[in-house]
Order: sequence, then structure tokens, then C-alpha cells
Amino acid sequence: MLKKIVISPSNKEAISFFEDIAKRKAEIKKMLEEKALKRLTKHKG
Amino acid sequence: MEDFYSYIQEEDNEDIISYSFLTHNGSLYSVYFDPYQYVKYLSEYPGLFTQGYGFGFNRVLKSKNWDKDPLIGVTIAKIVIDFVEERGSGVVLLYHCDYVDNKQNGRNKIFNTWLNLTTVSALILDNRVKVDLPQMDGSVLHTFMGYLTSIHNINKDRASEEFTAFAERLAVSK
Repeated sequence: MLKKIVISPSNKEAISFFEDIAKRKAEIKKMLEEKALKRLTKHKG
Repeated sequence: MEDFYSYIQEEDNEDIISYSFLTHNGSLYSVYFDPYQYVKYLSEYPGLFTQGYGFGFNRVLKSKNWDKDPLIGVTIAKIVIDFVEERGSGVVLLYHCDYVDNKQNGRNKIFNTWLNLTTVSALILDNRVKVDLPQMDGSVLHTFMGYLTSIHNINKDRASEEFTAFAERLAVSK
């Protein structure tokens, strides 16, 4: 059973993958925050 | 029936499905399922490619007062189970522990507590690997990635094989 992977500093592909996913997650989080704020403002009138 | 917070479900024009709920303390949480989060990397893993969703949850609005609120985990569990029931037991929810704010250890504890809730552990399988990631300053970041899928997923063995192959491929890539 695979338990751990250790990425070496020279493994550009893997590092790029994790950076890419982190960036996408941050974009989604920002989008959800903006949506939430818009909704709250709408309901406060 | 166990109590949970009322929630709403939305789908935006990028096909991201999100659910959000407000806690009694005024914090707003969002749970999301993103069909494209990993799609660029999964073309060689047909099961994950067709059934995989990026999964995550965030506290998008923080109240001034925060307390340990068990209803948060219960509500997230209900949302996940609802999503799986709606989309079918074949879905695979891929996740990464967020580490950009360096709070992944605390987040990991909360996630584990939530996964151990009876409502989740009875219905959902969790499979994860630890990841050691080198940082620019020479340090190593300890995080993890994994997936959740229904115990009723008839392709759960294939999901496990593909995920393992994908993780191994990351380790040997250049």
C-alpha cells in the first residue's frame, strides 16, 4: 500500500503539479468568498 | 436524526458545484466539487478522469468568535453524502491538503475528526498518501493528497489502482 511520496527539488513536473493545484484552489476560494459577500450584501439591502 | 446546518447548493458557469452554510457564530463555510481541478493530469487514468472531482471546503467568512462546533463537520459530511447520492456512487473526490498558509496540520486534524464521524466512515472510503514537498528555502513541507469515494462504488478497486499509479508517476517524473 502506497504511504508516502517524497518529491525531489529537481522534480519540476511534480512541483509544477502541486503549484498548479494550489493556485486553482486559491482561485476557487476567492470566487466563493466573493460570491458569499455579494449574497450577504444583497440580503442586508 | 442528527442535526446539521441548513445549506444551499449552487452551480456556476465553470461547472463548479458549491454548497454553503452559516454557523450559529456567523462563520460561512463553503464546500466545493470542481470537475476540472485535476483533469489536465488524469488523461491516462480513465476512471479518475471521468469520475473525479476536486473536493475542498473553506471557511470563507470568519466570525469574530470561533468555537469548536461539531455541527460543522456533520454538515460537511451531509453535503458530501448528498453529492455522492446525487451524482452516483462512482464519483471520486480528489483532495489536497491546503498548505499555502502553513496551517495544514490544524486543517489535517479537523479533516481527520470529520472523516471519523459515523455518518462519513460508514459510507465513504478515504485513501491518501503523505507528500513531502521541497520548498524554495530548502525546507520540506509535509502535506498529503487523497480521495474519497463511496463504499458502494463498484469501481473502487480501480480508483485505488489509478490513484496509486498517479501518485507513483509523480514521484518518478522529472
